[in-house]
Parts: sequence; structure tokens; C-alpha cells
Amino acid sequence: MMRLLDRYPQAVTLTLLLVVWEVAARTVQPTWLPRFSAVARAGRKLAVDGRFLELASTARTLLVGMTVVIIVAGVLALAIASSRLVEQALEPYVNAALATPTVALIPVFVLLWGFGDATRVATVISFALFPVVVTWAEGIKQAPAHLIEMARAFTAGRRKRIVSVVLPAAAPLIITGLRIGVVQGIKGVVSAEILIGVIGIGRLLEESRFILPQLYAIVTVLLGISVVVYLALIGVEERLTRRTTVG
Amino acid sequence: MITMRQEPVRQRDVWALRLLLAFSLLGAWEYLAIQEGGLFLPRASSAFVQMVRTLGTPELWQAVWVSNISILIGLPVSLVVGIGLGFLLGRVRRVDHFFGYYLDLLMVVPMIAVVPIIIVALGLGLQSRVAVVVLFTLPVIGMSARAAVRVIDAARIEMARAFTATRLQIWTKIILPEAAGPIFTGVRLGLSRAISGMVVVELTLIPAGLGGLIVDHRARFEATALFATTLVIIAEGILLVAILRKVERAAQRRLTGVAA
Repeated sequence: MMRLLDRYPQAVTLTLLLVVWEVAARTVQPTWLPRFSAVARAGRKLAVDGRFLELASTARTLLVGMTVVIIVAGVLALAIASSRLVEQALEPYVNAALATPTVALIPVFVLLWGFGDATRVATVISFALFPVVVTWAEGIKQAPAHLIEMARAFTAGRRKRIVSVVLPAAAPLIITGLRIGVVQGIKGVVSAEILIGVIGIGRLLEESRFILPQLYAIVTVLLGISVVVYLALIGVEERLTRRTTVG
Repeated sequence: MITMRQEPVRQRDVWALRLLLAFSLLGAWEYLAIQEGGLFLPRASSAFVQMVRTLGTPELWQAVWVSNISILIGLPVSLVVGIGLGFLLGRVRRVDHFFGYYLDLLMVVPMIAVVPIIIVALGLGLQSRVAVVVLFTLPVIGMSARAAVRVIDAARIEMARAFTATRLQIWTKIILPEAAGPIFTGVRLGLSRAISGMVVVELTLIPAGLGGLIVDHRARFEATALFATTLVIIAEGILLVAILRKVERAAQRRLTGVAA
């Protein structure tokens, strides 16, 4: 039994949390804590009447935003990694962008583009772009110089050098950057929808502000989804890192 | 290194490129605003002028103060609890085994989603604002502290033990000096999240302070004022992080005795 507990420590902690939750909700009965069982019921109901489908538009927005982020970050990271002048010139801007509390930009986006897709996409970009740029530039810079030299000696052109030497060397950090970007992007799209309040998750939360079990169900599902996405990306990352370091 | 990058870069070129970038970005903003008519997109120049002007009004500083109370209370709480928790997880394997994983996950979930629950639990006051700041900052500070004390060279601790160092001495002479750098980094990351947390809650359900000003401007369609207030928030973020970065470097130099 002990060995089983040690084997799955995360499951133990989760079970413990759920038990404490249910017991607290039944005995102490704080007004802000519905029973876990009630939350599960509310969640099932939301799933059945299809209101979670609202999340599809959230996912689509995230996808559009991340596509833009990948393209722009790729260009910027290549520029930073290949020219010391660009790197030094951009440094204060990148630092400022990283230090900017990006949620504060959402009202500005709303003012410019209203409650539509553009606002959400812009938020995803503003949350994810610079963390990805920094990680990718770091990855590209790590490409071993002697390999690049050799490729050059074998008359590989610039594009060929990037595709067959730099990118494979940078692959692990590229995936890391992508993971950081997606995590940031999820935070961005969720923040935008909550601040806007009339679309997607924001609307779901707004509707259930006074229906506690439903509110908890939505929040739990949301956190659950972001955890699953994160773990999936970590899985891909580990597999890829192993391949590039061993092979 | 896609190309050869041996040649040192001249500072003059760096500054020229920086200025060029700044001017073209601001110029593009100005141009677009003139095209649009300035109804929703105020000109860059008027936004910055308005920002400077609001910096001279007591209302703004009042809002800055009201907003930052939540950080002034919340961040120290996160520091104490977060660093304590990080040390516990970093040095005690058994505990880490069960809880470390979840601290990591707390860092990647969109905490903003929890704000409505906090408000249900703690109401529409300062308590909720502080709680949100803590929630935004605690995971990152905790994770940095955990990582910082985890990587300490076991051989050095072993040696100190052989020389009969007490537990306290091991902490003060070996673990803490080595861990200070990464912990500082965690605090810096925490601070920039703290500002996000502070603004988030004010923009959504508790319109107070700077977020409250923004909500007001939006309701009255005062585009220029909205941009100016946003610029103030961004400036606060950049400024505080820059200061902390300076402190971080100075502390690192003193602790390690070499220029970092």
C-alpha cells in the first residue's frame, strides 16, 4: 500500500485535496465553497447542454494568435541571433516588453477593436510574443559554430544552413519556447475573455457569478484544460530532447 | 550564430538603430491615429503629453497609491510564504514528492479564472485584491526558491558537516548565499506578475485605483486619458522591474565577490 502511494504521489495529493474539499463543504459549510459532488453535477450539466462548446471559439482564437506569434517570433529571433547589432539594439525594448503588465493592454485593445476576435488575438500576441522570441533567440544562438562553419565550407547557402544546422540544434529550445508561448497564450485569451465579459469563458463565468457550483465547474475545467495542454507539451518536449541528445 | 559575428558592434550604431526603431514605431502610431481621426486611437504625441499631464494631478497619485496597497501587502506575504514553502519543498524530498508538482502547475494555469471565486469568498474589498496578488505571485516565488536550494552542491554540505558545522551554519554559510541569486530572480518575476494581478482585479470586479480609472475612461470614451493611464501602469511595471534588476545585480556582486 505504501509503495503504491509512493508510486503515484500526485494522485495521492489530488485525492487528498478532493476529500478535504468535500469534508470541509459538508461540515464547516463555508458559504463560498460548494460540495465537490455538486460541482461535478454542474459540470456534467454544462457539458450535456453544450455550453462548454463556447470553448471552441476560445481555442480557435488561441490558434490564430499563436500562428502569428510563431511567424513574428521566428523572424525576430533569427534577426537577434544572427546580428549582434540587432541584438544589442533590441535589448532594452525586449526587456521593457517582458516587464510590461500585458493585461493592462486589454482595455486599449477593446477600445480599438471592440469585443471581437481582433481584441482576443491581439491579447494572445501581446502575452506570448516576447517570451517566445527570447527563448528562440537563445536556442538559435546555441547552434554550434563549428557545424555552421563546416556547412559553409561545403557551400551550404544561408537558408540551407538555417534549415539543416541551426534549426535541428535549436529544436529543444524551440519546443520549450512554444510551450512557454502556449501557456502565455492561454493566459492571454482567458484574460481577454474575462475582461471583455460577453464572449467565451468570460460570458460563461459572468452567467454563473451567483451559481456557485457552476462557477466552480467552469473554473475547474478551465484550469484542467490548461494543465493538460501544458503536460502534453512537456511530453513532446521531453521526447524531442531525448532524441536530439542521444541520437 | 548563423553568420560570423566576430566584429564588435559600435555603440553609435546600436543607438542609431534604437532611435530609428523608436521613431518609426511612434511615427507609425502617430500616422495611424491621424488617419483614423483620433476618436479611438489618440495620437502618440497627445497620449504621452496627457500622461505627463496626469502625472501632475493628485487624482493619479491617489489611484497609484490605492492600487499599490494590494502589492505592498500581498507581495511580502508571498515572499514569506513562498520562500518558506520553496525551502521546504527544495530541501525535504518527501514533501516535494507530493506537492512540488502542483506548485509547478499553479505557475502555468490562468490564475485570472480564479478571481471570481476569490471575490465570492472574500468580497469586493482590499482582502480580495491582496489575495489575487498573492495568488499571482506565490507560485513563481515558491518555485524559484525551491529550485534555488535544490541545486546546492551536496559535497560542500558534506564537507561542512565533516567540519562539524551546525544545521544553522550550513544554511547561513552555504545554502543561502548560493540560493540568493535565483531567489532574487523569482522575486523580480513575482513583482511583474504582482502588477498584473493588481490590475486584473481592478479591471474586472473591483474598480479601484488605476484599473478603476481605466474603467471610468472607457465608460466615458476618453480615449486619450485611457491610453495615458495605461502608459502609467506600463511605466510602473518597467520601472519597478528595472530597479529590482539593478538591486539583483548589486546583491549578486556582493554575494559572489565578482562582477556578474
